[in-house]
Amino acid sequence: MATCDERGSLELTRAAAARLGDDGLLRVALPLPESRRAIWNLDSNPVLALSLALPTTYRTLQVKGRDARRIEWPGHQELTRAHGAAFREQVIAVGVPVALAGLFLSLNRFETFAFTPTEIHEQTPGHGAGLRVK
Amino acid sequence: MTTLKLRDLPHGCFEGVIPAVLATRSDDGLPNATWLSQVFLLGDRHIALSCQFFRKTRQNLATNPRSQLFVVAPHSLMQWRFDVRFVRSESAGDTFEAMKSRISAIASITRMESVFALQSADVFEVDATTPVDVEASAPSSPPAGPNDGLQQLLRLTQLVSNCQDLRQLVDTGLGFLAKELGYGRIGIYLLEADEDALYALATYGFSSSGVGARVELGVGVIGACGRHSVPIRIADVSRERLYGRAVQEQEERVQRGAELEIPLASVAGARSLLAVPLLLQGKLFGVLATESTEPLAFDERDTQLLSTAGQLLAQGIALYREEETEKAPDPAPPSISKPGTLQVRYYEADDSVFVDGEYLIRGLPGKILWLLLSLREKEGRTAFLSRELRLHPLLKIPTVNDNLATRLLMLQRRLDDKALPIRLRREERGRLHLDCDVAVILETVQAQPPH
Repeated sequence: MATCDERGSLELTRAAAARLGDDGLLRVALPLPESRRAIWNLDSNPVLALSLALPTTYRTLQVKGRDARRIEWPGHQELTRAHGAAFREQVIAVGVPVALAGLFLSLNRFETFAFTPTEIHEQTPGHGAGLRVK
Repeated sequence: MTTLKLRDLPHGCFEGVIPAVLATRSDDGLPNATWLSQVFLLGDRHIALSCQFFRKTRQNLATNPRSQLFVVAPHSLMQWRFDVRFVRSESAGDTFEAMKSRISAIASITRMESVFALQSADVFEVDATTPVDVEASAPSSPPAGPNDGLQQLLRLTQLVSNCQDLRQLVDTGLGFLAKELGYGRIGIYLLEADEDALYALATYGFSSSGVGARVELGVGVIGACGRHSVPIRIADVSRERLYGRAVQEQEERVQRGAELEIPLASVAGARSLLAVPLLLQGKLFGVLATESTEPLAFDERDTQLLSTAGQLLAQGIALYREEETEKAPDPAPPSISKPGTLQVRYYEADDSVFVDGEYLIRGLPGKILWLLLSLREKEGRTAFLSRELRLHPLLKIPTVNDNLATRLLMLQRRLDDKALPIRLRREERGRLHLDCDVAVILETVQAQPPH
């Protein structure tokens, strides 16, 4: 996830368990401690870009969003645990050593956010990358 | 935030094993995140990113050069944020060519040359590097030991300088690189300048030798290394293939109906590849290439070590000259010891030779074999002088950079590999013996004149 503060300083962080709710909002969990600055950015400047990639295929989409705000998300722990396990399988499949596969992001504490998706772009490598899907 | 020098970071951060992410910001303040195939280290404060599929990123950088890069060290999974500032795009020059060579090699592995075109090398200055504070991060892997390989190179120099013939020189050299330096699967490829191609002279550690195999310049890691005369290191072939497949699928979605080849394995089972050019008098002489089934098996030190060792071998091979003999060839006539016949067909167009319908070899080694068989048939002899071959108008052996000895060795090995009833022996210096156990029927397929 890419965020920026009000002065335009950018901060990238990994995110987990993105889910689209019936309310049209996309929910996402940001791991701690590595997302502190991103969270601070979203609190002051609630726009973001979330790039979602599947390691085994490189299939990638980017979602642009606004109105990001902290939310209560009951059950997010189960989702982040499932996400962590699934992501671990993916990265092992592409050659990351088993002993390291769980180290991409912290999986104990998360801050949860919801935002309004405004644009979706194709981002799989190739000449179609960047084309707006929705 | 730290002022860590980029060169102090694990080299794997810049090997493209785990994709990096670049964040930029549009004029209206919206962030953008894009994945990168290549991050090149240019110095302690500069990097270059491969601009292949950038759209929004390029627009954003034009107005807001300050951006952030997220990189991962594959050996430890340590991660860093680089606060960077876009400096310039280069579409020519050393950095661009080095990146282009590497991307060409990847494109060739995945058969995606038409898509993997590098538009530019985008140079960024790194203002700060910050380690990403992930819980339970693994400790960084220790740096490689101080062994600089100098002693091994000295031993290789001694071995090469003591070799008595070309076969021994090549076998000793490759064997040393495999057994003493740990490059267990290695091959040497020599340039055939007239054909814009490389031919395998010898290999070590493979299930089949592949001697005589042809690699067009620009094709695959070896061909790209030769084409651009720069070392090419692929840290993880499987990742590059995966990336290529994603590009291909994307292309198929965008351009329905376009027929693109399915990516084929160029080196089965290998994860890491390293090819270094062998240059003599500033010109390409050949390529030395090694591979490993482990990802990230080679680093910059390997590139330097193999380049130096390869140059030693190349000079040894290029300087090798047989003692000429004026002694007349053995008049012994051909003798056939076994029943049966062998049909040998020679195609003038590319000097390729087929035996009983099966491809054997092409280029100069093919032409040499054809000449020897023809002389055997016409003149009824089995012994030949290197000198007469060197002067024969069919072969057109160059007086400068004479390549007869290496091509004879290639031919000899290829015949051995195929276990054919035709063998080439070199029992005395400057003299060859052609043994055929069965009757040979020769056939020439003439080149079609151009329309």
